[in-house]
Amino acid sequence: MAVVLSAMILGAVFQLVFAQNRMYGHQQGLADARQTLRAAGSLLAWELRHLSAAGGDIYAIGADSVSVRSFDGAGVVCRKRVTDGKYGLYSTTGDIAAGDSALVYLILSNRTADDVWRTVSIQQVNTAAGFLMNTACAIWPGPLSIEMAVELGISANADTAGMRVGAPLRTFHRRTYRMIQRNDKWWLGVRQGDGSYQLLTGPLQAGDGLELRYMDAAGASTTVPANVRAVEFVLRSESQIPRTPQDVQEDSVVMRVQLRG
Amino acid sequence: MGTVLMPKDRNGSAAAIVVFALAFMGLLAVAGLETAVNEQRGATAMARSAEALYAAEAGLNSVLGDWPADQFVSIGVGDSLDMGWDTLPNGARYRAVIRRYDDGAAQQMRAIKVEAQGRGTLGGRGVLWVWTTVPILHLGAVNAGGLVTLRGGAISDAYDSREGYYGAGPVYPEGHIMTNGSLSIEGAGTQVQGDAIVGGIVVNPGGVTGTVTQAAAPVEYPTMPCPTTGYTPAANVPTGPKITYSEVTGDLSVTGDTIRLTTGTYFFHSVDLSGQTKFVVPDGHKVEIFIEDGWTVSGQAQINNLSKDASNLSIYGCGTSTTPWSMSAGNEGYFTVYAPLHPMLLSGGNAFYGAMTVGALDVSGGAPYHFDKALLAGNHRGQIVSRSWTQQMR
Repeated sequence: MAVVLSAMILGAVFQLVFAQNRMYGHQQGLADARQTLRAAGSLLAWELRHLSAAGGDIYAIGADSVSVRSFDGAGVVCRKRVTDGKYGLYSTTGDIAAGDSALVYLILSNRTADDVWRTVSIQQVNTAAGFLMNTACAIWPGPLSIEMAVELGISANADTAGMRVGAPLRTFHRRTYRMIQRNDKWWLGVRQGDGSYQLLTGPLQAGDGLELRYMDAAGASTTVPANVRAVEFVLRSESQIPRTPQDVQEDSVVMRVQLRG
Repeated sequence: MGTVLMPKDRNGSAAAIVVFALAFMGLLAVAGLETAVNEQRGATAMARSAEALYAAEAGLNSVLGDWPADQFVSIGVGDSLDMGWDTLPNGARYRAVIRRYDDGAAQQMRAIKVEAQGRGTLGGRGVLWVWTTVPILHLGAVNAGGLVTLRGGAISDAYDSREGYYGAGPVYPEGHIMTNGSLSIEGAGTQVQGDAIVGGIVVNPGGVTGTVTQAAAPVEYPTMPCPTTGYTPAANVPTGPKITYSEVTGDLSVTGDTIRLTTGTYFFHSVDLSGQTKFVVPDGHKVEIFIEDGWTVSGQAQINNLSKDASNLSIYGCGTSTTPWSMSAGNEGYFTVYAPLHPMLLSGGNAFYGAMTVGALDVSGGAPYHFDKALLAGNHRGQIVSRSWTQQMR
C-alpha cells in the first residue's frame, strides 16, 4: 500500500516537474522569438526613418525586400582647399571612411530651388597629422579645429561647385534587407552594394517572416519608390532551438514607420 | 551462502525524491523568473527608446514651430543657442541646441541637435540631428507673386551697404526683378539694370540690361506668421497730439506728427501715416514691424531710417490679409518690405533703398529703386526648411 502511494506521489511530482520544464522551455522559446522581433524591428525602423524617398534614398522596393541609401556618418565642411579637392570636417559623427560614397549639400545660387545634394566619393580620410589637419576651421569664431580631413573624388567642377563652408556631408552605402536562408532556417539579412548577404538576426518564419508594404503621402499603397512616405512591415519570428519540432514558439509584430528624411 | 543485506527501513526515500523534485522545480521557477525579467527588461528598453525618440521629436517640433522667433534668427555665424532642458508632461526631457554653420554669405545653414531622455533613472536616450537652411527673404530688388509694373522712368540697380552708402561704393547691375507673374516696363528711361526672371512674360524686354528669363518656375514666398503676443501695448508706442493708437484694435494712425520707434518688434493691425508725418527710426536702432492688415503712407509722409541701413527697418505683412498697400513717401527710404500677399503701389519719385517681396508691385512715380546686396547675407526671418534628419546611435 505504501509503495503504491509513494509511486503515485512520485508520478504526480514528476508530472509536475515535466510540465514545469516544458513551460520553461516554451517561455524561453517565446522570449527568443520576441527578442528577434525587437532586434529586427528596431533595426529596420531605424534604417527606414532616415530615408527621404523624394530625395532618392529608396532604390528598390518589394514585398520581401527593400534596398535603401543607408547613412553611416556625417560632418560639416568647415574648410575648403578646392585646388586638390581636400576638405576639413567639423562636428563629425558615425563612420566616415575612404571608399565611402557621400552626399554633400550644394547651394548653387540664392534661390533654393536649385539647391542639391550631390553624390561624391571619399578618396582619403585623415584624422592624424597630414593634409588640412591641425588647422582651424575657417570663418567661425572660436578655436574650432578640423576633426577630420577628407579628399573627395571629383570628376567635374560641378561636383563641388556651390559647396560652401557649412555644407553638411553624409556618408552612405546601398544596403538591401531581405530574408536569407542559413542551415535550414530563415533570417533577416543585409548586403552592402552587390556583396553577399550577411545574417543579422532571426530566425524568421519561412515564407512570410518579413513582409513589407509601402504607402504614399495619402496613405495609399504604392509601388513607386519616390512616392513612399511610410513603410509598414510585418515580422514573424520563431524560436531558434526548440526541444522538439512541436515546441517551436512563434510571435509576430507589425510596425509602421514614417519616413523623416 | 552469502548474505543479502536488505535495508531494514525504506521510509523517507519518497520524501527525498519529492524534496529533490521540489528543488529542481524551484530552480526552474527561478530560471523562468529570470527569463521573464529579462524579457520585461528588453521590452521596457525598447519602449523607453521609443519614448526618448518621441521626446526628441517633440523638442525638434517645438523649435520648428517657434520659428522664426527672435532668439533663433539672431544666432550669428558659427554661434550656437542652447535652449536648455525642457520637461514634457510624461516626465521625458529634451534639450535643443541650434548651431549656425554657414559662412554668412548666402543661405543660412543651421543644425538643430535635440538630445532627449525618457522618464525615470533608466529612461532611454535619443539624439536627433536635423540640418536646415533658411532661404533668403529677398532674392532681388523686387520679388513678387504677381504682376510687376515699372513706369515713369523708374530704374532698378544694386549697391552693397557694407561698401558704403549708395554711390559712395560700386553700383552693380544687379537690380534683379523676380516674379511669378509678368513684368511690364513702361515709359521712357524705365530700365531694369539687372536680370528679369519672370513666370509670365516681359513686356518691353529691351528695358532689361541683364538676362531675361520668361516662363520661369514659380518661387514660393512663405507667409510670415504674426506674433502670438498680441498687438503692441500702448505703453510701447510713442504718444503725441496727432498719434492715434489702440492696443485693442492694433490700428496706428499718425497725421502730421513725428513718431519715433526704437529697437524692438512691433505688431499692429494697420498703420496709416499721412499729412507730412515723420516716421523715425533713430541711428543705431533696429525695428521690425509686423502688420496684420493695411499699410498706407501718403501726403508727403516720410520714413526716416536714420542709419540708412535697410536691414534696420523691416516691415512684414503677416497673416492672411491681402489688403493692398500703398506708399507715396515724401523722402528717400531705407527699409525692406516682406508682404508676399499684399499688392504694393509705389508712387512719388523718391528713391528707395532696400528690397521688397510683395504680392504684386506697381511703381508709378519713376522712383529709382536700389537693391542692397547686404540683405543677401544678413540675418532675417526666413522660414526654416529641413534638409536632412539623422537619429544618432547611442
